[in-house]
Amino acid sequence: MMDEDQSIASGGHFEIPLPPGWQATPQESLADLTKEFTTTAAVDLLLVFPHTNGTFAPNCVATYEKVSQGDLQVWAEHNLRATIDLYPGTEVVDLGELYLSGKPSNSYTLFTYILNDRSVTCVQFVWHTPRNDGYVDVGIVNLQCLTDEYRDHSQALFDIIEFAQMLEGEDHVRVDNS
Amino acid sequence: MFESTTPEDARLKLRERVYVDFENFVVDGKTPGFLARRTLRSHGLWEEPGLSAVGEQYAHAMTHRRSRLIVRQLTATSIVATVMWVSPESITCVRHSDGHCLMWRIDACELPALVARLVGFEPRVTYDCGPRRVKSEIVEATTSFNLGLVESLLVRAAQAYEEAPEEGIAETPLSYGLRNRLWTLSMLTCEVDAPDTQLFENGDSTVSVMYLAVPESMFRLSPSDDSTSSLEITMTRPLVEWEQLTALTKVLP
Repeated sequence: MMDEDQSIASGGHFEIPLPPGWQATPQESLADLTKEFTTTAAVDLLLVFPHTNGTFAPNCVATYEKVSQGDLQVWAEHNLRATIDLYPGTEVVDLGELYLSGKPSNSYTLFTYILNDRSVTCVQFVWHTPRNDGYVDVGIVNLQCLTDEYRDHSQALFDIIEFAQMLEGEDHVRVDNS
Repeated sequence: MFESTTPEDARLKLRERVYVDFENFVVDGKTPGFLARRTLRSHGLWEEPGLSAVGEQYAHAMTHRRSRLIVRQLTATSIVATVMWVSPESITCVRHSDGHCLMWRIDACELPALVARLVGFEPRVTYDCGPRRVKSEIVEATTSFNLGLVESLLVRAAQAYEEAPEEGIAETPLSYGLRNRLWTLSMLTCEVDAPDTQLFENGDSTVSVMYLAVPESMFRLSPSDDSTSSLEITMTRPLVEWEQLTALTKVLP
C-alpha cells in the first residue's frame, strides 16, 4: 500500500514512491553510473534498501532509452541477450507480459544469477510508450535482491513496480524531495 | 548456469543398489557387506575401514543436513526423482532414474536455479483454461511413482472436462496436452530437519507443492476448499510461485 505522505523519488523519466526504509541515490551520482555501466541508456533513478550488514542490498535501477519504432523488436532481443550475458550463471525463470492499470504495455523477465557466491533474483520490467516522432520511450526497471531474502522484500519490490510512473517525453524538470 | 548443476556433468554414476548401500551407511550407520564395500571402493567412495575422502565430501551434506528437498517429476514416459541434501556448507544432489543415480555437489547459491529447472519453471505462453479439477489420488500416485495411475487420472480429468466444458470450449491447451501425453507433473517436497527452525507458518516440518505443465502453460495443484476428493487446477506462472520456491530453497543456518 502507498501512503499519502510517502516520499517520491523523481528522475527525468520516472517517479517512484519510496517503500519504507528505502533511499534514493542523489542524481549527481547517477551520471557516473551511466558512464560506467551503460552505453546508450541513462540511469534515471537508483533506489536502495541499505539494511543488509554489508551484503547485497535490495535495489531498484530505472533507466531510460529512446528507440526507433522500427528497431523495437531488435532492441528487445538485444536487451534480453545482453542481460543474460552480463551476469554470471544467469538462469531465466520466466518472461511474459504483466498488465498493470495505468501503465503502458510492458514485459517482465525473472532471472537469477550468481554474485560473490550468492544467488541474486532480478525482475526486469520494460515499458514502452510510442511517441509522435517515430520513436518509442523505453523504460527499464530492474528490481534485485538476494534470492534467499526475496520473501522479505517481494512486497516492497512489487509496490515499486505498481506505483512507479514513467513520465512522457524528455523535458522533465526534476523535483528533489530529499 | 554452472556446469556442476547439470546432472549430465555429475562426477558419480552409480547403480541404485550401490547408492542405497552408501546412503544406508551414511544416514543409518549400517555397514555395507563385503561385496558392496568393494563396489563402493571401485567408485572411490570407500576406503577401509570407512568412507574415502571423496565419500566424506558427498556424505557431509547428508549427515549435517538442515533440510532435504525432493523433486519428483513424472511425464508420460519417464520418472525422475532428485533428492537434495541441504547443509549450511554444501549440498549433495542425487538424481534417481531408470535404476541408476547421478550424484553431484553444488553450492548454496546454485540451489534456487537448479530447483526451478527441476520443477519446470520456464517461460511459457500461459493460458487460463480447464480442466479445473483432478482426483486427489494423484498425490499418492505421484509420491509412489505410480505412473499408470497418474496418467489415467489426468486423462480422465481431461475427458470429463471435454464432455461438459465449464467455459464453453471443449478442447483446451491443457485438456489436449493431458490426452496427448504432453504433460509434466512435478512435486516439490521440503523436509526440514532443523528442530529449532520454523520455516513454515503452520508449524509443519514438511511441505509439498505440485505443478502440472503442458508445453503452453503451467498450473498449480492444490486442495480444494469444498473438501471434495479433488485437487483444484489453477493457472500459475513462475513469477507467482517464486516467493514460495525461494522460501523452500533457503539454506538454514
